[in-house]
Amino acid sequence: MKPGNNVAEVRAKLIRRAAWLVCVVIWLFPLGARAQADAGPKRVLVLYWYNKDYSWNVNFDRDFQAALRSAPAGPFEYYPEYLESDRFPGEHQSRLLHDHLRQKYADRRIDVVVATSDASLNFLLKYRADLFPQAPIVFTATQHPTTEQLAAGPGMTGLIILTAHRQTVDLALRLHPDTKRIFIVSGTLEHDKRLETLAREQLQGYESRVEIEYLTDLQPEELIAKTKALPERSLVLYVWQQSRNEQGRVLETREILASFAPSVRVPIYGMTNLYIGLGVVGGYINLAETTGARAGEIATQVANGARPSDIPVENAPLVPIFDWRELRRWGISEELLPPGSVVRFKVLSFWDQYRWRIIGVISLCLVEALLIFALLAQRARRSRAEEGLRLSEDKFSKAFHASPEPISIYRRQDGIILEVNERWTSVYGYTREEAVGHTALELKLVEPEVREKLRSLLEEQGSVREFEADFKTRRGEIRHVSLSAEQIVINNELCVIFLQHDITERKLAEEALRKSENLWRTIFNDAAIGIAIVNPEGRPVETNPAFQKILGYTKEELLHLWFVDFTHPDDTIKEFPLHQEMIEGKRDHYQMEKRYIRKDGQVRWVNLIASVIPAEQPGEFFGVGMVEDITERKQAEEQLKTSSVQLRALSESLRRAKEEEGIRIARELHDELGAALTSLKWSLLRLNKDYSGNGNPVSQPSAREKVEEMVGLVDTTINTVRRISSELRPGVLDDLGLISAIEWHAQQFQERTGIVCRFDSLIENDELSREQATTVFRIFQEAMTNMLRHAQATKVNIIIEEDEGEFVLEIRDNGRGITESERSGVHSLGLLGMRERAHSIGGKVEINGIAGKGTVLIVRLPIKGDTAI
Amino acid sequence: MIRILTVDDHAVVRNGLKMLFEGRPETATFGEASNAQEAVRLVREQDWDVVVMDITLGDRSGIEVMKELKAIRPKLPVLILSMHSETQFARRAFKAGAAGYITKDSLPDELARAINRVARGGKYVSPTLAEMLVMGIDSGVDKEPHEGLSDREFEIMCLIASGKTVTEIAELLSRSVKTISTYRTRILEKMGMRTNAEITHYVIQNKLIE
Repeated sequence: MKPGNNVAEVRAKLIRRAAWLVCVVIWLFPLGARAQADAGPKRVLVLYWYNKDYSWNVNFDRDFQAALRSAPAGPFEYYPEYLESDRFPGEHQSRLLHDHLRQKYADRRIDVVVATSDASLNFLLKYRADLFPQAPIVFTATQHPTTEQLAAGPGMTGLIILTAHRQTVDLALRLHPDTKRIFIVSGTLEHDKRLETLAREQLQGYESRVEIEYLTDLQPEELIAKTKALPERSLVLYVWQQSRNEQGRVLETREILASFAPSVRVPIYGMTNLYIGLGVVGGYINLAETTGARAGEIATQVANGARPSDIPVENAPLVPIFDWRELRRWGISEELLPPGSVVRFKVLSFWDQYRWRIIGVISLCLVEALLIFALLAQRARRSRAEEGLRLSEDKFSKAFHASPEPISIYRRQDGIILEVNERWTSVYGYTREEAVGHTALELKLVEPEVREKLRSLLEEQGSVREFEADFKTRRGEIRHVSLSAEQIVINNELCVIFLQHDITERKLAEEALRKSENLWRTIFNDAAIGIAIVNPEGRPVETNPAFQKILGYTKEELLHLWFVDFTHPDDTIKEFPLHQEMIEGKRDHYQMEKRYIRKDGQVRWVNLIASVIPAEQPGEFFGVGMVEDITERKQAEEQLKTSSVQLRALSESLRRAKEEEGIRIARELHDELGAALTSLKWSLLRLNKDYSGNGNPVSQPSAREKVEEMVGLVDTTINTVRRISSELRPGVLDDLGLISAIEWHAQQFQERTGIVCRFDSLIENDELSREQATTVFRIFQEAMTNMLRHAQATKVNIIIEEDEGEFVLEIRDNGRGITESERSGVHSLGLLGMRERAHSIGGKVEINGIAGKGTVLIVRLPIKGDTAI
Repeated sequence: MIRILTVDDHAVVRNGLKMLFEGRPETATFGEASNAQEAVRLVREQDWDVVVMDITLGDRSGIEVMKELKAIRPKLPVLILSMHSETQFARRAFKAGAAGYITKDSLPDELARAINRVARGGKYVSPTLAEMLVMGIDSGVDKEPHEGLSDREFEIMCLIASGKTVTEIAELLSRSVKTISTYRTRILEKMGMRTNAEITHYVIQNKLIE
């Protein structure tokens, strides 16, 4: 300490004392008459145990004085005294202190005496009558005084400093729940084991919970060795110990604790504030400060006249105190500590220490950063907005000028054109300069009524959308325009911007389409043939009147029908697959003659041409059916067919009639005429015989010659009759049957033509009807005649067989062979006749030729089969 | 005396026949029938030495009527007197059991001769007809066996000899198997053979196919 400082301090003290004295004088002067005892300051004497620097004493002193100062009734005079019985023990020393105090306070009346320990209290009680007979005692002690002691003299009250064994052990067990053993360390210089005894008393009942072992009065080395090897799940309760070392020096309790604590591997608990920081975890501790403060309060009350007997003896407050480092070491969370715990030696982290400062700085930084960002954002926004505006203006300008549609801007008020774009000028034929400054009416762009209409629309709605109107160009052309108008403010003037869409082309196209549509509609409606458009289901979605007329249904009725509904069932079977194929895209059209059934049930024949309408969209299908009513034609065809059949039948019957006629004539000729001629011949011969000789005129040679001549004539006539007859109808055929007839004819043919005929029949009787036999024979005759005429054959084989129930006649020649054209040519009427004849009896004729090899003609007909017709 | 039943639907012919016998040495009695019923009745009722009948009796075939008569009296000889000169008639008539066949244009003597011969149980064929019949029916003794075959039969024989089956031949000629089988049977019959092997042997030996 520097001397200067000392001087300054002293001076300051003097000044303060002087001030204090002045105050006291001022305060005393008007109350001078007051009784000395009442009026003077209260005097409190505190007898400490141990010396003045003993930390407990220091702390007690501080808070005790603070209590005195803060007491409402003051002032107090404070007299600390020290009983150093430890260092100066013995009766003599005690007497000396007694004498000293007696003499020292002989002329001062002490109002309250405070004893801070058992020793102090014992000293005071011993010399009370001598030293402070009038003063009540306030104590802090471990031993509770007796009732007599409390009531003796001017009375006594105070605080009992409890040894917190139980609380501390409870606390330790709570924080270390798996503890099995507790080692209790204590010791006194006197080796009287009084602390152990105390602990035993205190910890009665704990033996059931944990094993308790007492390490009492061990020498420091011994203690270190013992405590070093403590088992796990145990803890140490350090009570208090003093001992002497080998040199005889007294080792204080803290020294002993400090000597063994570092090597102990289990938690150590203690009950004294001194131990905190020396390796103990903590404990319930009686704090000098709090005890001092409380003692101070009681002392002031007593000093102010309260009777000590009115103030009950109370326990000195205990505070749970911990060493933060030890808590960390044993992993004990602060949250587990009892409320009001004091944690010492807590190493504050940087954060703990400077938290608010850090928060403050960061907050500041953040605020600043936010400000900066806000400013930047604002600037960016503004520049973007400016850029946007610029771009917008730019874009608008470009859009305006580059628009493919005419755009014009008018002043709302008077309709003056303010601006037009290039398209506008090219459409309407006015230059920009010609247009700007004029109204639409002046330029005769629109009719006044149109302008009025637009004006009123703008008035009502503020805008116009898709308004169609006619505009006139400079050259007088009419443009159909769809226009939209919007009001805008330009340079504080209300303007209207017109956007036009030239729909002239569209109008024209629409018109053309309409005309075309009309044309087609007319064709559709007026067509003589029925037209129906069917959807994929086959429903006629569109039909023309002709179609409706054919079916007798109205258009609406047809909408609900399916084509199957009005198609003849027999035709549906044929048509349905075709319709299906068309839907599936396998064919694009089909044509068929079919029957419709009208609403009235009448059947109409139609010629239907159905085709696919090319789809506008994939998957879409529509078919169109063109229907021609061919009922009349069909009927005509039917009639033709019928008449053809009839004609054939007629021709057949004619042929048959002719044949029959032939048969009749032939027979008449042959039989009747033949018989007559035979008879005539015989008569002539008789005549000649009978009348030859005898001079009869007839016997004349001339007459005989004449008769013979007549016989010859009759013979010739008979032969002629035979020939004619057999030509008309061969008797063989009727009398002997077809096979014989063919054989006969072949013989005749050979004789007549020299062509060798070889006949071979596999059957004897043909079993054919007369009709069939005749027909086959006639075919055979025709075939032979043809062969003779065309074949240039020298030989012909005629074979008759029965094959597979059929009668077969084969005529095979060795001629040149019939050609294809001869077979099917128009002039082959002979063949046609043969075929016709064969057909009439249910048979058929095949004819084949091989060039240079010959011709084969085969007639086949079923035996016993029905004759056709 | 000869009992002659004339069956003809023409009275002229019947009378003519009677006249024929008037001036002849042999005496004859005549019965006349103009149709089948009468003929049948007369044959049933009386005995006749010979029936002279036309091959046509109105609507009915004389041959059929003849068969009927023969059914009643199987030994009754029938001479067919016909306008028809065709051999087919004669052949048919003989097949049906006629004893003779004569055409109406024959000389009366010829006719009488025929009647007499037939009545005595003989057969009669007119010379011209006989000649024609011989030409048509006869197969010469000196000819090779295959010369009696028809062209179709010959063709089929060669096909059989070449190793073709009946089915193959049927296909080739567009005929049924049955038809070809019939042909084969006929060929074997005509050739006097029993197996296809014999046919093949014969065809090869006679160099009928190349």
